Amino acid sequence: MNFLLEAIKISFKKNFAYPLNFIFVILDELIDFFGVVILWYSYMDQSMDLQDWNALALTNFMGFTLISSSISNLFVGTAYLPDLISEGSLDLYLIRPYGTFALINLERCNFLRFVLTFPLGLALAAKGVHSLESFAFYLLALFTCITASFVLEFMGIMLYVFSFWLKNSSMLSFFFRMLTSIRKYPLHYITNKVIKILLTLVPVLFTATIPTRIQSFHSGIQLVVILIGMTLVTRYALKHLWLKGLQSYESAN
Amino acid sequence: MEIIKAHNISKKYRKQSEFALQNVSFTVQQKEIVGLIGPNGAGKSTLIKILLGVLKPTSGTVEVLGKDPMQASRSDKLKMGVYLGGKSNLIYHLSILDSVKYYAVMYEVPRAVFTERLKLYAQLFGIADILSQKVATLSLGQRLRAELLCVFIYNPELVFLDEPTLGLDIEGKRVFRELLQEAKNHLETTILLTTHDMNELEKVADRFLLLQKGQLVFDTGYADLCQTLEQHVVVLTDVELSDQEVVLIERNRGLNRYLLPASALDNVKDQIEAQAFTHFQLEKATLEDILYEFFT
Repeated sequence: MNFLLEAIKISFKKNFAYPLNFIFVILDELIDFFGVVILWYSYMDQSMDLQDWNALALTNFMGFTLISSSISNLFVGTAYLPDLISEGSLDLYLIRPYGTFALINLERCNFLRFVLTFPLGLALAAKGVHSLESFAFYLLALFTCITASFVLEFMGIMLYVFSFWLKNSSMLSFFFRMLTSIRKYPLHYITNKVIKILLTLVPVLFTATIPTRIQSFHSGIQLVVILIGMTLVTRYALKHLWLKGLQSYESAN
Repeated sequence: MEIIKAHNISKKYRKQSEFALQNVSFTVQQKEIVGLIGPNGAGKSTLIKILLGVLKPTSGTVEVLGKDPMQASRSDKLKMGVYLGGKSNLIYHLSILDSVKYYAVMYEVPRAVFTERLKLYAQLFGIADILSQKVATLSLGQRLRAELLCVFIYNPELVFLDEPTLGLDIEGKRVFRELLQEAKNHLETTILLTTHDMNELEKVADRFLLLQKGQLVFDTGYADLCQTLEQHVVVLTDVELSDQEVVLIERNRGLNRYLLPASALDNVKDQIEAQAFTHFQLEKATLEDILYEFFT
């Protein structure tokens, strides 16, 4: 726990290492957020068809996308895994008394970004909660969003881990990131079954679209069972893939 | 007590046809300072990585702190310190103190102990005045001192140092030697270091392991090394010698540096006197002179 707190402290300090740094971080997040707000307000203003989604559902949706992207911010370090493997710099992490993924991410993620976006996401996602029952749905939606975001990141890590065997799996990871970036758009209007299945197995739908349906419309709850199953499978697969990868790791001569 | 036990370690990388290490066996006792030397590509880094549990040997067994390093637990890793040359431990945009604190917390140094230890070691390393300076602004020598401070701040039982004195000035190297002696005498720290600076190694190491083309060709203690050195002598002269027992080490500024057994000195003197020499000088043999043939 002490080490986690120290790592968070270091992460915050890095933002203030140079005078304008933290200002630009805040500006960056604000521009990102207001860009999305402007997009959806323009959409609503044009009275474009969002099926049964209203302004409140959209607000909840924006909240869940913020929560999901703030969790992704915590995993920014693992994008360096292919380079660490190919350069042999992974050695430095393997010898430490903490988990490799945890260390790589703690050293590189910016907790300031997380602190700026996560509470805002919680607040937006909670808009419309007015009773104990709706609060219960909110909690379930939150659980779905957070769990799916972690599973998505674990899947991304699994692609990075292929760098143990492939010279560089960055292109695979790039494609995966492009695919998962669609989570910031409501995907409830997709009718193609194949795409729907894909976005369920790669749980993009669970990061914001399904939590919004749970929160705003109290529907889609039974799908959470699929998410729990995927969590267990992904966790197991990642662990074994990682251990296999380590056995074949030869550092850099 | 044996801190490291290596028995017939061999390692062959998948994409190479030759073995990087072949049947390497040795032990390291507690509180020893062991120097691992060899030419480039000899297998030093491979051996270090096997001892750290980063690489799995193709065959053979290895035990570090009583365990297979590939099975090292968290508590085992808390006892090990590592500085791998060229791979920095420091946090680039923050101060030295931030980096040192980070490792102190990572390796669970109690706060009161940390304060006392930081004061002592920062003085010893000569960086007490620059602890609040950003790592990005440090010179190479200062950065290396900070790296070593990060390693020793938690008093590890076993330390691996890969080319630790690269870039240090004379004063820095002296401080480094003192710290190693301090670690050995007061902290019960065992140190395994690799270096190309054999003069440096001669002054600090208790044992010397020489790797050449993946094989351990030389394993000797300091006392035995001293004896070997005493049995040899170095001659500096401008004439050419062709005696079988004489090894040419170096040509520099018109002078030839020869290594020969002390017993052959009289013979060599006669040879030199028989030629028109202008320079003749005797020197003590050094570790570098003795090991020269393994590097060619």
